[in-house]
Order: sequence, then structure tokens, then C-alpha cells
Amino acid sequence: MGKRDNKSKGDKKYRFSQPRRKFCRFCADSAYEIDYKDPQVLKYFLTEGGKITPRRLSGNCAMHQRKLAKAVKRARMIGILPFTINNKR
Amino acid sequence: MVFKLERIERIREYEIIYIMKPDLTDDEQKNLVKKIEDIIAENKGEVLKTTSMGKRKLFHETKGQLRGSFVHSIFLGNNKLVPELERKLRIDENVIRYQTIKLVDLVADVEARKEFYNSPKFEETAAVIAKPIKEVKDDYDKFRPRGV
Repeated sequence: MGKRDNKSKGDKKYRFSQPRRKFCRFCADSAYEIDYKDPQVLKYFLTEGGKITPRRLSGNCAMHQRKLAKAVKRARMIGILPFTINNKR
Repeated sequence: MVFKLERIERIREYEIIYIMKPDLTDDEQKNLVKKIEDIIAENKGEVLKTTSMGKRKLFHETKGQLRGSFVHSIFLGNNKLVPELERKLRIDENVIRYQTIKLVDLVADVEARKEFYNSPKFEETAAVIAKPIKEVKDDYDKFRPRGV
């Protein structure tokens, strides 16, 4: 208990900043469509290792996340996107 | 009373992407594209549009190749066409990879679909497909999710 009390209140270091509200990018701008043939849009929803980013990070709505996941998997099959990226030397 | 169910032959709309070997000559590529269009035509299908997506680098090695030239085409056909087409593509040595996707389950108006693929609206999207990846404008930066 003692340790915790020292850190709370008044100490700027430990105060939480309010996170920016996330939004679904595909709902916001209907000009951008999810298409497995267009890797430019899809690649921003991959991690460095080539995995699909979860919804809690990307902010997509459920419907678009589902469509995105399907598109990424299709793009992987024809070699437009990677399954994994291995940076071992 | 016995009802006889008549089987209606559904016309479906598919799109296919197939990847050819990169070291084929222009004539060989044209022959292969024509051969595949003929297979579709033989099996009561109809090709609506064929676009070449150009040579691209593959992210992973497939059949010993790191590059391939992509062809994208849209066609109408029934359910018996696709397995036959894929069987022939599997046999062909010059095809590295193929992927067929169903776009429309029941095409009611064939003429309307044909018109759509000849309209300028579709040609705009086809132009984006046909461009090599590097040439596509990099204005997608706002898509980058935070913290990734």
C-alpha cells in the first residue's frame, strides 16, 4: 500500500493521459474499399512480423475487420502479402 | 401429389487470378491467356474482362519462383466450369498459382453485367489493378493504425 500511495496524485509521471478515440477507417471514408488485389491498404493493418493487427489496436469495426482478415488471407495465397517476415540474421 | 423439381442452371460470376512464370516470352503468355479463355468458352462460360497485372515480386517462393506475371479475369459460368478450369491450370507447368473467387451467386441479367464491365466506372478500378505496386500513389498514410 505504501509504495502505491507515493506514486499517486500530484506526481505527473504516473498520471494517465487520455487516449485518443479510435475509429474505423473504412466506415469514416467510403472511398477506400477492402480489396485483396490492393496491398497498399492492407499492409497498414499488418504488424512488422506480417500478422493481422487485432481490432483493439487498429480500431476497425467488426464487419470491416472480418472483411479485412479475409482479404489479407486471399492476398497471402497469391503472394501479394507475406505470411511471415523473418528478420533473423 | 409429387412435384418434380426442375434443376435450373445457375449462371455465376467468378474472378480468377493466375500467376504465370516470369520468363515466358510475349507470345507464350498470349497463348496461355488464350488457352484459358478457350477452356472457359468450351465449358459454357463467357469471359467478360481480362487484365494483365504485370510482373510482380512474390513475397514467398512458389514452385521455385520469386517473381511472376499476374493475370486477372472475370467470367460467367456454372459450377461445373471451375473444377475443370482449375484441373487444367494444375496440369499446366507455366502456371505457378491460381485463385478463383465467386463474386455473384446468381446472375439474373447477363447483359447488365457485360455493360458494367465495359463502362468507364469499371475501367477506373481496372487501371488501379493493372498498375505495378510501386507506381500506385502512396496516399494511404492515414490508414496506418496508431502504435503499429
